[in-house]
Amino acid sequence: MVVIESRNLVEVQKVRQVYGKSGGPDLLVLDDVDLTLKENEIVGLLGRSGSGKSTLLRSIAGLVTPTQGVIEFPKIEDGQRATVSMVFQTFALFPWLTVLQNVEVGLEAKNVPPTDRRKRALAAIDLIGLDGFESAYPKELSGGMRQRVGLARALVVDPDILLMDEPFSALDVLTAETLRTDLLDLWSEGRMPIQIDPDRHPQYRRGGADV
Amino acid sequence: MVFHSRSDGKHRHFDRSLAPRLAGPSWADLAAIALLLVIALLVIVGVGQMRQPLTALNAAPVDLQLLHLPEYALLSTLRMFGALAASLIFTLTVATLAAKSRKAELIIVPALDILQSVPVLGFLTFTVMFFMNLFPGRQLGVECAAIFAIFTSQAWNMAFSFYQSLRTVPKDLDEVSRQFGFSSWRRFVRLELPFAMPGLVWNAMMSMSGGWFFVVASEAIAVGNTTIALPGIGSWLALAIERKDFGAVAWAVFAMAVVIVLYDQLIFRPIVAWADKFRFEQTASRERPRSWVYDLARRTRLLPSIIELLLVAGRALSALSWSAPPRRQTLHPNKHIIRVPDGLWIGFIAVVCFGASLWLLRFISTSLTAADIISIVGLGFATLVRVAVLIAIASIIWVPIGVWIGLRPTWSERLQPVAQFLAAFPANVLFPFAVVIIIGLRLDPNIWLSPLMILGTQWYILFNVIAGASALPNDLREAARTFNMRGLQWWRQVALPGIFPYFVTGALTASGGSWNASIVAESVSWGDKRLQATGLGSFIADATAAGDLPRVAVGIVVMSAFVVTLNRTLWRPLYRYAERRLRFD
Repeated sequence: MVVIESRNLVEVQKVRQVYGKSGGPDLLVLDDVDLTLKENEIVGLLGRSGSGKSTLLRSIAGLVTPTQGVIEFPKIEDGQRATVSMVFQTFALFPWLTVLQNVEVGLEAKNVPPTDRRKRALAAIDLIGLDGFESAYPKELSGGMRQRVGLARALVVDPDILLMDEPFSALDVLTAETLRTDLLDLWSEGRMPIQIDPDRHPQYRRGGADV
Repeated sequence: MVFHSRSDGKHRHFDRSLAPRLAGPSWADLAAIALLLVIALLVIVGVGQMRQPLTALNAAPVDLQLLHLPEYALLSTLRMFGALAASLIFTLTVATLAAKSRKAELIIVPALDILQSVPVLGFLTFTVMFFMNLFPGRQLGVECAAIFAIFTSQAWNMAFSFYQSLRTVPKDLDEVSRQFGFSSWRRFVRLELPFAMPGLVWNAMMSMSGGWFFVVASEAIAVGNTTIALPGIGSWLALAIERKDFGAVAWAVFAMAVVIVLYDQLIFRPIVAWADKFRFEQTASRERPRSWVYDLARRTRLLPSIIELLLVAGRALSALSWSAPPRRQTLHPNKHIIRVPDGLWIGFIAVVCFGASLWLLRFISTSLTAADIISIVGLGFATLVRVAVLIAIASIIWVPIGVWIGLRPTWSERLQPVAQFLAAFPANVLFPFAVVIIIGLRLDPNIWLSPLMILGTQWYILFNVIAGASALPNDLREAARTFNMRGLQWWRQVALPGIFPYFVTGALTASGGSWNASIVAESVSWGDKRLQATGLGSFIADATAAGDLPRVAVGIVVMSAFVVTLNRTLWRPLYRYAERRLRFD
């Protein structure tokens, strides 16, 4: 992989995460983790299940607050900080919204005007290969197509960092492979996913735990 | 870098909302407009009627002319929907508050739990007096009291279900909405409300069913010397009973049936069909609820534009920059910092409750001695025996029937709506027939009045068991058949465990409803003949008729204590056991 430029998008410093279980001993999930993500790189987090990959990802996404440590987003261009978007293992689509509405949800939260919103969402759906399914409901789609909706929803907000938490593990091998190749094609445009995916580099599996 | 959905299965095309709608009004539009106009007209007529002063009501009292029956039915229905609207507002505000604020939760949840099990009918005396003082000399005050009585029978389970839904929002969807930085309003309309919708609709239907019982009971109110009969089916029925007019009672039964079928077809079916899309499932279910009204509404051009207009307000709310929850909290909340105010809060609530009980005790002790109270508790046990025996008998009858029906899809499809209709049908309409039979055959009212308590509530057992039996996984049934399980073994190991969670839900509802019904079922009259069974229900009914407030208060407190204790010591543990051990998912 060619590194064109290497500005830091996010810096994870000495992050420690403890889950307090009521009545039980505290569970240490992340201990003193440092991680820097730069522009234009793909980073895979490897580790056994339960080793804290998801927790680290969720800390970067701002979904959990680390017990200790800092997650910094340095200013990149004109004072803006990197934006984050996430793809979920379980797809996490709203079953009561159509494909189009699901993709629009992130733009809606940013108060993008409706016409602009629709245009961008349709473009993302097109890009991801779901043209013609705009008004279908998630339950009417196959697993692979559902995760495509999840991807479109994450990409449509133009994130600087795309976090993927085992995005293909709920799919069968063939579908996962197709989706992965498609995603890599897309990445060559210059988006930067960090993802957890043990299948990608099986040779790293043994010692790959970050935590 | 072109994305193809190569291996993603079939390419079907979905062009529902994107397809341009046909121009020009259609016959569906005309039908929808006509339907809306009729409903609007009925509401206007009904509300105009309700705003009259009380003197007008005295001048034109309720009579038994058949011509007036449709109007009475309309007024009763309006009261029901007024109460339902109030319950919805209550649910959306109070339950949301409970789910969002810990301090509010500490009061609201236990309060709802108790209010759910309190005999609503016992309150009628207090509420009528309160609302009549609020609007002196106007019919509106009594209307409010009746609507409030219905509200108190509808609101609690709706609020509870909504609160539960808000607390169990799926984790991944919660993460999506936080990750995109949803404002609290957007989170509510996009995530929480849709997720809670199926439960809310189901509970609203249950509440509506339960409400008919109270509409009938609360329209003709006699408090001490004042007797007020609001125009409505309930008053019609009360008058028919007083005059021993069997034909009029039959007409009331008929009117009731028509009304229930109408609102089911016109209002609840479409809502259920619409709410189907909010069901939280990732695979399309085989059988979708259908409704001709919903299909009609979807075919029109007019209705979507009306809905669009309503949505503008929602959009405006969304566009406001609500304070989005902070994306990254800098402060890690310390457990100890939270505990201290909680402790203070609980202490404060305890002091208020203690003060209120003291006040109630002084109010009661002015006219009642300890011996009185012990005898009232004794009456409570009499009613308890009735409820327990009746629930047992009803279970023995309906569980096998329900399982039989539930295992046969064609039958359960046909009979499930019937069971729900029977549950909605206010059993108190049928009481006069029972009285005539008991008097005619010279039966002992202490025994034979009891079945009336469960007349309306047994159906909850039946349709819950049907639902449970039809939800029995097919592979389990096939496995049982492969191993040739039958007879007692089949019941013990397949059927009973499978339906148990559903049965507990049904039995709990039935028992709660029966306690409530005891207030009208233990003391029934037909013309000048009056039948009474010894029990807490008839005690409260008598005290209400005499306007003896301290006695009413004690009666309610004792009955609430019985119901709450029963829930805590019997139903709750059973429910928890069922949840833990016998769930299929």
